[in-house]
Amino acid sequence: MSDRGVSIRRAAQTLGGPIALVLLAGLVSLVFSGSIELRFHNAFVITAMVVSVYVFSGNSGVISFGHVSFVALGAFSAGMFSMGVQQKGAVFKELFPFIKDNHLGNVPTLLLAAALGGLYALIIGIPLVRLNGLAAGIATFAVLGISRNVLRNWSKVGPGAKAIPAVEETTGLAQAMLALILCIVVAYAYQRSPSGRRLRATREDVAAAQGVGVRIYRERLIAFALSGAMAGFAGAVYVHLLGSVSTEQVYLDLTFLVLAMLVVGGINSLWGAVLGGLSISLVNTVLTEGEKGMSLFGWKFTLPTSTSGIVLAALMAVVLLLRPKGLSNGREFRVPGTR
Amino acid sequence: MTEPALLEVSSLRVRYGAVPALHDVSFAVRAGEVVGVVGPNGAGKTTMLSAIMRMVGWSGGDVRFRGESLARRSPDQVARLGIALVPEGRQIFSDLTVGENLRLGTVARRSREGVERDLDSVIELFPVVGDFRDRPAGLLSGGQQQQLAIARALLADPDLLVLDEPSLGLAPTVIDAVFAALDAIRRAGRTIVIVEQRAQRTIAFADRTYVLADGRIRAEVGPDDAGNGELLRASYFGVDDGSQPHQDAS
Amino acid sequence: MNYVQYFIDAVALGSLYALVALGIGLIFGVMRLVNLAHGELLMAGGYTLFATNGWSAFVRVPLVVLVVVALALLMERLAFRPLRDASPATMLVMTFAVSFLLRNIAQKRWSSQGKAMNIFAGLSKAFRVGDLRIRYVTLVSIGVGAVLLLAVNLFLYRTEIGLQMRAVASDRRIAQALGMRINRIVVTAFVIAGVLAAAALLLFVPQRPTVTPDFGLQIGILALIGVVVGGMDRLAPATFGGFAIGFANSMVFSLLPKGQRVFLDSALYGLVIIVLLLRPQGLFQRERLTARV
Repeated sequence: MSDRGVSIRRAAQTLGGPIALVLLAGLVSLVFSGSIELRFHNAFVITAMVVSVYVFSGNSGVISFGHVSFVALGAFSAGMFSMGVQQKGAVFKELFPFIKDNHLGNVPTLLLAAALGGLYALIIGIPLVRLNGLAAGIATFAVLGISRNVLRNWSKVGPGAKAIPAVEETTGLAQAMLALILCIVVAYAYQRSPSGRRLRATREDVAAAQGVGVRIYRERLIAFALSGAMAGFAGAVYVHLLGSVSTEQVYLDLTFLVLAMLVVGGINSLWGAVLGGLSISLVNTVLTEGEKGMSLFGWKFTLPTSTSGIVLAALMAVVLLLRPKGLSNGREFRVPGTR
Repeated sequence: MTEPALLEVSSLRVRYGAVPALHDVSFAVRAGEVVGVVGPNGAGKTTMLSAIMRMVGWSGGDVRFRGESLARRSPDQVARLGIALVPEGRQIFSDLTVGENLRLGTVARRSREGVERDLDSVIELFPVVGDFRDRPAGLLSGGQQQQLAIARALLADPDLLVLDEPSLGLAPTVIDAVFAALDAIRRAGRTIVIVEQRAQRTIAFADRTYVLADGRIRAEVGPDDAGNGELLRASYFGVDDGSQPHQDAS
Repeated sequence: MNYVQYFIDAVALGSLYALVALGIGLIFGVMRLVNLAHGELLMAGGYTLFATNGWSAFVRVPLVVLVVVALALLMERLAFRPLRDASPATMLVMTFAVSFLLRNIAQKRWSSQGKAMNIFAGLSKAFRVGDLRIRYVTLVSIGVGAVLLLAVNLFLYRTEIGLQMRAVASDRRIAQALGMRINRIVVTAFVIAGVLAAAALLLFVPQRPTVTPDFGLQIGILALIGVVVGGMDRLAPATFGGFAIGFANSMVFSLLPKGQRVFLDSALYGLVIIVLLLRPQGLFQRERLTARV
């Protein structure tokens, strides 16, 4: 096959592999109902968050602990604007008028969330993308802390310690899957773009890339803002799935979950992000349903509570120790047997 | 009956990821010898020393010290077996005092006996370390730090002293002092391996010198070849097909 | 408004945070590891106290020290040592996993309800000196803090292993090439950090009498902020940073009314970011941090 043929086939697999997995999972979800069906929808949305973190961390090699901040901003803004104006005014008396008096439909809230996420990421990214390694990890962790603190306490924009109630639950199977597939396509388009390629070049050897003229901080900022927008978007889809959101739901535990998914799947490839997200969601589902008592292929079992967190953490530790590149081994999806 | 070599490097191969750094390097050092290794930048000289000290892994070959293979050893074990390294760029502990640096040199000693005596002799060799015992080592000049690094290595009472580019970044007069000290060390009977970029000096000083270029040993020369620029150039920039190191024409 | 009172209380809290920060600093020094799970050492000590409620303090105190040190060593051996040569960011992620794991184990075993630790109840009592009401725990905290800091100092500067530990912190590769046994030194650092954490926990009890799975999180993160802001690379700045954070935290709580101190967290996190951007070696440190990308 010609070079061009090979590269088209490769591109199709890189993009198609993750999408095919999502479609497959979607099909499987139709078999279930009730809480398990919801878990599938949950899985898609959280995987979208994983993909958004991948767009930055996977391409730049810089680990961000703070991306759930953008998810939170997206979820809260979408949530606040989705609430009925009457109820909002009654429950959250201190809001800024432009929040209190306005209501947005489903899609507009998604767009708003993406815009806010991207903007927030752009602003904090300007100073932060200069940091590497450990410093970046600590700084992004600090951003997470700030975001939570502000969202929790600034009663003019947020609900404080309470949860935002009564958000229209518009995220069903279709919206969740579409959202994830959209994120996958955007991530793919980005990593194939000149900017994305330049950023990937910096991942292995910062000095060498700078030597051939790559403006690292500019490329990182682009990726950071894009991933912030995607994360915000995912957050909005998330709040429309849950029907409400509180700061604790978009803080440390979610950060850990998303990071674990990325690590287990493999931080360096799109396939890794999607594979990690969906497979961990599967494990999580089995474990949490098991905690309630479930029947799997005729075998009944009940797991003690909180097992899922322990297993997840242990799994992440094992992967870090034994297979640091994750399940995907840092590679994109390839049909077995092809190049 | 030839004495068995103190250090025997056989077909040593080192790779950094996919990039080969050393190809089939083989040479031997006998007790009491001073052996030089010269070559251009990037030739693999530091890699070779790091490999001997087990600070980088090998992808093939072996290094035997006093007949024992070093293959499974960690760097601290190699040090405690009796090989002392004076690293490139001195690399003394700048936050610690000169005296503390010296004390740390004694960690690798095989026997506590004679520490005081050895301390006195290194101070005699390098008076500066005696004068500045309580000064933070980072405040010393480059030349003084080099002397400290050598003194520190000597305090391990090693069977083999290995120096990586001791003249790097030093003024000519300081280099003279360093080599004078190395001469005293040699006369005291120590086995020394010196890795250097300054070919002339090293070739004149050592009993034998190997020329390393592109990860391969290309020639072995003696002190008489020190003035032979052509021989050196040919070795440095010589044939790149891994052909046999050519013998000096004598 | 009794400023002297506030000051003394702040010094006491600062001392406890200094102990935790010193432990974090020691581990960072020998391993370049920022341990997000450090707070969980205190949590483990707290649950040990809960589990031994009613026993004699002479048994409980050594037991707490033992459990905390054992946990620290377990962390080192299983989770951190294998990653010693990995990137600092990978190590950070691993410590995050360990923290999450330990908190979930605690949650599973004891639920999120606060459990009483019940020790040194007598220290909560106070005595009066003029206008001041000084609790015994305040004095003991300052005293124990000072003694332990002094002890660690003596250890580092007057013993052979202490010297080797400082060497490893300065340059691990060269230390190894000089024959120092890195594993032993790292283990020693973890033991000391464990002892310091246990001491801090025991003295925290009078002011925070109940333990929850998240007990260690707040303290650990705050101490970490102190270390980063003070200066990660050297012990004195790191310890002082921890002290400063504890001190500042206490003062803010005493001086500001509740409404105004809700954004204290953001201010502290913001300080961390500013320090990392503008003065990565920390506020209290003079030399530059060696660049580690």
